Order: sequence, then structure tokens, then C-alpha cells
Amino acid sequence: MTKPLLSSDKIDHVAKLARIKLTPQEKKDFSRQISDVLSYMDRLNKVDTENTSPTFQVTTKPLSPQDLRTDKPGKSLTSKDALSTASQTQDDYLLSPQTVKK
Amino acid sequence: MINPYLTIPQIQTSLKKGDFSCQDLTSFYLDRIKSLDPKIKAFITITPKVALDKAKEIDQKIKDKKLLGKLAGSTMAVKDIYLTKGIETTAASQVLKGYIPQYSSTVYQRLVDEDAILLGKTNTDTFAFGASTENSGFFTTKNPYDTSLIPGGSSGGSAAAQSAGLCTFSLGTDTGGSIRQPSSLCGISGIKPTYSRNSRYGIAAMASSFDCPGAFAHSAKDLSIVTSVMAGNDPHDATSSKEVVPDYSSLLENKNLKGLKIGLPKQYFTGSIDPEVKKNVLKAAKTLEENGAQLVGVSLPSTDLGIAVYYVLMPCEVSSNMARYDGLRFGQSKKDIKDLLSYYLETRGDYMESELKRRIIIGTYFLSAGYFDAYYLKASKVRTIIKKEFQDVLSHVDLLLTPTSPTPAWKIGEKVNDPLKMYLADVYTVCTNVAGLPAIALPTSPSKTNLPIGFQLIGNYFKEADLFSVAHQYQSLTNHHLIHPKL
Repeated sequence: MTKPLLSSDKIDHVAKLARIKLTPQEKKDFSRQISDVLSYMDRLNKVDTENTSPTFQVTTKPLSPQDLRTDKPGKSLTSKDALSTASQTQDDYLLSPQTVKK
Repeated sequence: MINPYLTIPQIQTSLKKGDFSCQDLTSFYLDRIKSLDPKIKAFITITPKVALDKAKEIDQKIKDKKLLGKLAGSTMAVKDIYLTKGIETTAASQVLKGYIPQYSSTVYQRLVDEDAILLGKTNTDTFAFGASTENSGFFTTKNPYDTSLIPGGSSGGSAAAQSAGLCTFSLGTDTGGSIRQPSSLCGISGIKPTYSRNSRYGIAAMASSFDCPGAFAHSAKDLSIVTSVMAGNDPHDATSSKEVVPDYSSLLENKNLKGLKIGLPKQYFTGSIDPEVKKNVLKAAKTLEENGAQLVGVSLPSTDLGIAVYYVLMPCEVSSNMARYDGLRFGQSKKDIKDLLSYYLETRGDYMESELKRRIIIGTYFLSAGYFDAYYLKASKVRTIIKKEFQDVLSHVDLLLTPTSPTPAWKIGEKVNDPLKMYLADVYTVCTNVAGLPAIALPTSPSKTNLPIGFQLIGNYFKEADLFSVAHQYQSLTNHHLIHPKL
């Protein structure tokens, strides 16, 4: 694998996927810093993992249906409490900027 | 005058004898924080009313001869990524500034239920992303041994508060070393339990397959008491283990040092390690050997891949976890933006600190189309190899002894502009997280310039009792944990 360098276009694309606006200075710094990090990661490609399966959870088995709680309503936050940290509300609802064009 | 470094059993004896009341003790710590914290800057929020109300309640229980909680009278400082109902929780980030949670994290609630007294919320690198607290969105915490040095991180606020005698015990989280490394740099004891031993519910998530809540204290014995309260299954965290939690503090003499096999992995004593750190860590091993333990040279060949595995997988989990900060349901947000995409871009762009953005961008890149197999999947496979090496070695020895940090505390500002260099500070701690094993960090002899140096004992899955037992016996033979900074 060739040394992966993060170009300015690539940074723009990834930043948009991540829903983050970056300043020009951040773009410049990140391009250099992240490229350093990526070249460090190259050492992983030298490891033979042909017959190795991946680990996603270290101590717990994947959940089975028996692990699920019974489907009974329990105590939960009231909608008033749940909305107490929201940026904007209307009645008992969370208000967000427009998502679909008129 | 109260000794600020009282341990949990000492406090309980004094309360019983009537040497002081809980309110006296709590006021003493609050005053001490008021006078010393402007220099240390360990706390983001101090909670005098919550503390004194709780102390009053415990004093009343004592007066009425009611049953006291296991931690009655113990004061605690809590890393500001643990949600505390009704008390501002910021994760040391502008993103959450002003956020008042509607519920508490499980482990924090368990400690309060056993009558621990909250003194305040402590500084950390923003969302626990860092090794020095310099990435905090608010300020940098200072090392109590020398305020021109970092305290380590990310749980540096809790570690500095502990080291400066501003609380009885404190809470941190260890995702790549964030309890053990600051323990080492601040000269205190810290426990990172097995992954899944303590519930993660109600703690700002960093990397969910690594995150490990844990504690700092003045002794291994205190850590054993606190861990017995914190640990255990929680229906709110599906990954939390159902494994039974023993009363660790009743098992402190259980592991006999005579015949104990301690592995010294050679990869942890080579490379960029400071010669004095190496010498003093080996001195700790020697002390255990002189008291009957057998030292065995072992090899963990993939150790140098730990950082690479961690710094691929962690940012991937970060980028996914951080997607929840939409500025709608909680957290700060930009006003008067008409469409949702711009709302996200502006809100996240404006309030997220650089290290936060950097890790999200790296993680999003690794997970984006065309790169998944090369990075995320590859690193997950190497994770299996690292885990297996530990399991093989731990089938021959009882535990491992290694340094915790390659150097003592460094100067504020020294590594802050070089993220890769900062990431490499985790070299001795991170593999334990990759494998999910428990480890306890303890101070050994300090450096010639009186800076703390630490080592860690790494045990097998859910063998915390062995770690506490060996650590307690080590601390009965030595007095490094009784050294405190001059403030």
C-alpha cells in the first residue's frame, strides 16, 4: 500500500461526512497531522492476518435473545424532563431546522 | 487539623470514635480545595451544597445509630464525563457546557448510595481525548509535584486532586491508559478493571469497546473497597458482565507472594524508556522477588502494534459515538440557521475542540468507503493476535509487571502540537485495553528530582482480587504510596 496522504479534497469530503465545518487553518494542520498518523498505521499491513478472525468485543459474547429483558414498560424520563436539555421545543416536541425543502 | 490523606478505613474509625463529624471532614476538604485548587486547577465544578447536604444526612444516621453505607464519610472527586443528575456535566468540552443531565451514571449512583460524598467534577482532556489534560476545552490541570508539568491524562483532574489530598478517592475512565498513566505521573494508586466489570451507562462514550470506568485512591486497599461498590452487572449496559463481584477488600491476603509467578515482558523494558523509570520499576519487581515471588522473563511480540491497533479502532468508535452531538437534544448550538445540514456543520464546527474534530475526521476516514478493510477490519484482526499473546503468557504466569509510562511527567506544552508523539505516551498502557484485561497502577521509588514513577500489574480477566491482593502486600512492604507533594 502506498503512503496514504490526506489531500485537502479528501479532508473536505470526510469533514462533510462527519458533519463538521473546518477552518482553513484546521484543514492545513489536520492534513499534515493525520498523514503522520496514517503512515504510522502502515505497520499493521505487515502483519499476517490471513487466518485470524477479528475481535469486536473482548469479554462479552454477542447478545442472544435470552439476554434481552422482557418487553414490559418500565420507569423512564417524562417528556418534560427529556426535553429539558433541548435547544428548541414546541409543546411536547423537539424543534429542529427544516429538513425537507418546501 | 485533619490529615488530608486519610484512607477509607481511617475515616470510618475516626467517625466511629467521634474525632470529627462528616460535616467537619467535608468542610475541611472544601476549604482545602478553595485554597489549593486555584494552583492545581483540578476541578471544573465544585459542589459544596451537594457535599454538605450529604454529610449532614450521614451525621444524622450516625446520631440515630442507623446502618451506614460502605463508603460513609469518604469524599470523592468525579471526572466530568460521568453524568450527575442535576449537576452540570461538561466532558470538559464547549460542546456540553451548561448541560444539566436528567439522570446519573450507574457507578456514580452506586457510590452515592453507599454514602460517598461528591465534592466536585474534575477536569479531563475534552471527552477524555488525550494524555495530559491540555486538550481540555477549559484549562490545563497542573501536576501537584511541579505545576509547570502536566498531570497526565485524560483523567488528570481526578489524579491531581487525589495526589494533592483534595479528596478520599476519585473517579476516572481508562480507554487507552487514562487512569494508569496519570496515576503514575501523580504518584497515586489507580485501577482499570476488566472491560465490562463496571457499567459504562451514563458516562460520555469515547470508544465503547475499550471504555473502562475505574478509580484512584491513596492505597490499593481503598481501591478494593471502592471497586466492590462500583462493579457489577447493570441492565442499562448490555455489555456489562454478569460475573459475580467478590468483596475484594476481604481477599487482600489471599494471594501468597511465596511462589507467585510474575512475568516481565521484555518489550516493555526496551526502546524509548527513561533509564531511571526502568531502574525503579525493576526495583519494585525486586521487592516482590525478595518476598517470595518468582520473576519470569516473558515475551509479548506484538506490543509495538498496540498503538496502531488502538489509534485505528478508537477513532472509528469515536466518530460513531460523537454523531449523537447534534446540538438539538442537548449541548450548545448555533442559533438562527435555517437548514439542518448547515446547523450540524456550524454547531459541530464551532463548539468541538480540535482533538475532538481530529479524531472524528480520522475515524470517519477509516470507516469511509474503500478504507474499511484496510484499517478497521485489519486492526480488529491484529487485536485478536494481541489478546491471544496475553492469554498465552497469562497461562504460564500469575500476573505481569511493567512500567506504566515511559517517562515521568513532562512540561506543559511539550507535546501538544504533535498528536502522534502524544499518542505514543500510551505505549505501555494501551495493549491492556486492546485485550480488555484488568491492571492496577502503583507508585514505585520516585526519580532523583522527586517526580513520581509508577508501575502496573496486569492480571487475567476478572482477576481483580489477585491484583488488589498483590498490590496491598507490596504497599505493606514499601512506603512509596505514602509520599505526597509539598504544596
